[in-house]
Amino acid sequence: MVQVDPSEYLTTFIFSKNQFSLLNGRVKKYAFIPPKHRRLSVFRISELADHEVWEIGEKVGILRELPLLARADITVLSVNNAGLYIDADDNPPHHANIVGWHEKDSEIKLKATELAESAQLYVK
Amino acid sequence: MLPNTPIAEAQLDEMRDSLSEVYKECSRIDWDGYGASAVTEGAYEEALKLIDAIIDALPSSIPAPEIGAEPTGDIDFEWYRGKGQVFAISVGGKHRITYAGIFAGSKVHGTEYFEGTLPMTIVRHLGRLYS
Repeated sequence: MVQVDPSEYLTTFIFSKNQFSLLNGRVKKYAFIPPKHRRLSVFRISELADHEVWEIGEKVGILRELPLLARADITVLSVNNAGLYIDADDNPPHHANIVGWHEKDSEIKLKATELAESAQLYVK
Repeated sequence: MLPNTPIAEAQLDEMRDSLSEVYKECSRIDWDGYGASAVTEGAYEEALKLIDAIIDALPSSIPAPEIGAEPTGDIDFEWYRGKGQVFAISVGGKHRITYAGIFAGSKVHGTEYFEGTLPMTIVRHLGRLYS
């Protein structure tokens, strides 16, 4: 597994208005609840310029046929503090997954809440 | 035990409207672009029951929650008081409330059976959030 420095920044792209609050300027936990296969898709962005990050998001949006609305940035340290870790597959380039999720729904909910509390929202 | 003063009618309508909007947006597969499950009619109906249970159990001093959908297809009710102070419950049509919360460093999570009455565990955690 590729080693990822705790100080690195990650982002998850948001395609549903359900996943953030413009009123409070915050990311909601739904953006960090993993799908059934328990691998939460993120991109490693520390070495990218801001416009490059948005370009990746736009490409993901085209693939998913949904408009890119926002993104949520978070550090690897915050992920580790929630008891999770990063599996950097670089497929596509800069891609990684947040893994290590517990099977219990309530614990997943709690960890997603912790990640959302640590995340910074950027609206497109 | 929290005093039994009902949440205002306006809040009730607001919650039901929010729920309808969430159901409309999230009742198809992959609504989030990451393979989310659709919110089912069963989840929607149970969420309506939960709104009634919240109205019955909580005083007007506790604000109405924000309603959203989880990628699992569950309907979520979240009370956000500020950074590090959040509590949420969710239902998916399976007679079960899943909950999780952070209270200035302390964390809670678990599940409770739901058949129409808000469990005391949930009422206690909300009392803690707004104490």
